[in-house]
Amino acid sequence: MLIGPSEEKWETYVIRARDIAIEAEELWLRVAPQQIAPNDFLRRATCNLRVTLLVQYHAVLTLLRDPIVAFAGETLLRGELEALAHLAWIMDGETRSNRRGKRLKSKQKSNHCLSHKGREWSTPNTRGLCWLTGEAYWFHKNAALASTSLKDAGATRQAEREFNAYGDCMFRPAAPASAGATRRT
Amino acid sequence: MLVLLARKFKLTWLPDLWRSYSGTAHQGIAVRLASTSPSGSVMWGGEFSDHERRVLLVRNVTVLLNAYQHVLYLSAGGSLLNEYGNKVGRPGTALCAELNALQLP
Repeated sequence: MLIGPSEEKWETYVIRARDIAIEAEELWLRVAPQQIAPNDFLRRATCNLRVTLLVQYHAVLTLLRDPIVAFAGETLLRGELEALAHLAWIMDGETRSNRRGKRLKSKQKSNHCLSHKGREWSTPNTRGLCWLTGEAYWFHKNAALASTSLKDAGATRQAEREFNAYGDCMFRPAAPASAGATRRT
Repeated sequence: MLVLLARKFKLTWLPDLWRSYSGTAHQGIAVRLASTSPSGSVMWGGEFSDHERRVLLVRNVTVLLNAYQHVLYLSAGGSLLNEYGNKVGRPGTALCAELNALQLP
């Protein structure tokens, strides 16, 4: 008859998984910049994604300790997958076939960010800027739609300022003219 | 992107997991599917079995190992990747191998 590991054994597995993340974090802290330069979009985007990844990773480990709530860990793992996909996109760009497939699938006119790494200007830093602009766009949109009882005074204006700041960088002549999000006028 | 990563790293569950918890559907659907028997009757499916806990833990560690190497590379270039492999990758894969080898009911 097969018998699963005891709860103590599960606890040791979870602790080992937690230690792996702590070790990775220590490595990152050794090389992480103390301050991120305003035009260092790559490290800004990476830092944002890293926080999401770690919070959700540790949350899944906490949920796994209790079988009653462990199912919720699957939902959080989806957030980690999103962080992984964004990080891989920033690092490698997207293949031509993948971008074309998305355009064919969508009936909308394409405003797809030109993420093809074959393009001269498409670097991890410019892709980081694309990602930050997209994030700021949705943050502004969500903040604008939220009821005033749910947000601080000035939160929407602050979100709009942030989006405009990234948008200005995006539309500067040195940077590519294509944006990850449609700019509001 | 997840489809590309799944092909590259041979992790077929990456896009499947994404789709099963798609942002366009209610997040409770996956829980309800797991708590419904093939005959259509609804049973208590909230408690994770040892098998499912093992799967979730292995996936969680696998995603972290893949994602964090991107974080380190994008933050500092390739200088630390060897050390990352020794200090993080090796214990991570050892843990996953140990979990996969468990004989669970």
